[in-house]
Amino acid sequence: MRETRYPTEVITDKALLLVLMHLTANNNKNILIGDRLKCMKLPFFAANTMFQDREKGFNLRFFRDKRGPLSKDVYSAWNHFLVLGLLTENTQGFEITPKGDALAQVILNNILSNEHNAEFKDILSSVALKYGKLTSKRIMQIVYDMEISLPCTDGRAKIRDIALGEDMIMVLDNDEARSILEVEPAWLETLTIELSPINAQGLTNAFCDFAKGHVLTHEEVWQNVSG
Amino acid sequence: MYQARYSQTFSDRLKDPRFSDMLHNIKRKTEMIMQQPYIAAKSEKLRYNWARKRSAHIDDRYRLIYKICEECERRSEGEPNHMTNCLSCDEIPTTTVNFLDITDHYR
Repeated sequence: MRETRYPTEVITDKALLLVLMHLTANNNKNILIGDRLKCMKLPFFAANTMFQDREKGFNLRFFRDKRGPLSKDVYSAWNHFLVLGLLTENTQGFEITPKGDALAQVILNNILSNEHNAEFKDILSSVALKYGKLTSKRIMQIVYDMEISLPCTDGRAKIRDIALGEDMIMVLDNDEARSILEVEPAWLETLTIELSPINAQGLTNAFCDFAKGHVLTHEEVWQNVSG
Repeated sequence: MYQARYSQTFSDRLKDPRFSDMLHNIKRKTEMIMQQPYIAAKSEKLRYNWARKRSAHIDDRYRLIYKICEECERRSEGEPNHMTNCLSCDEIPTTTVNFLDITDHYR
């Protein structure tokens, strides 16, 4: 078990998180998903189910914070989604945009529809259905009453009794997992661009260069590099 | 052997200090791609919004993103894509590899 994720795990986490937000909004027949508190607990429910069953879908690390389980990885993903225009945020919370919905649907159709990934899709759908309509207050009550197995002590505890800062979910290594999310290399490469503001912006700039004729030859680019 | 063109963005990217020790390797990979653009450096066809572009490995972290004129939708049937408006498109040989940018799997 690890504390930090490999780059490919960061990408697949963002993909699953976007799908979970899309399914939650769809179940509510709304574009509103919920406030930050709720949007942090929904991936916790899904990641905890996967972690307890040794299913390596989400690789989010959660620890006990003042307001229950918290993952810095989720914060980072939200920031990227906002910059990429996949989500917007207002006083009520996060809303999914048409661009976010479209990308989530593509991930559902091309990655999660793979028979091998059915269990991961089922967990996301189940969390969206079970908790998506609940208020943040109700979700917090459910979270604090939950009992989980702790990764570092082998013991079980109710979340309200877990010490602040203690790890609740960690990153499974492949050899610890009963099943692992399968993503074709071509889709992994695509999502690395699609879900990264810096990569996507760089390519958009490059398209503009070719359209405007801001183009260099091989010799011009490498003139100062020998070998 | 295919010919290569590079975006200004790509050329500027090479000035990033992260790549100062990797320039020889990046150049070598571009030359491998110019020889075998469909298979070199673990080339993968991208999907969705980036369809008809390719990603090839520099190493575990960095990728070369490029497009082969033969695969462009303006010159063949296929999925729509962003980059179909290259200046002077008709004057460019179809055996041209267009290097767009270097992407980072850690970002």
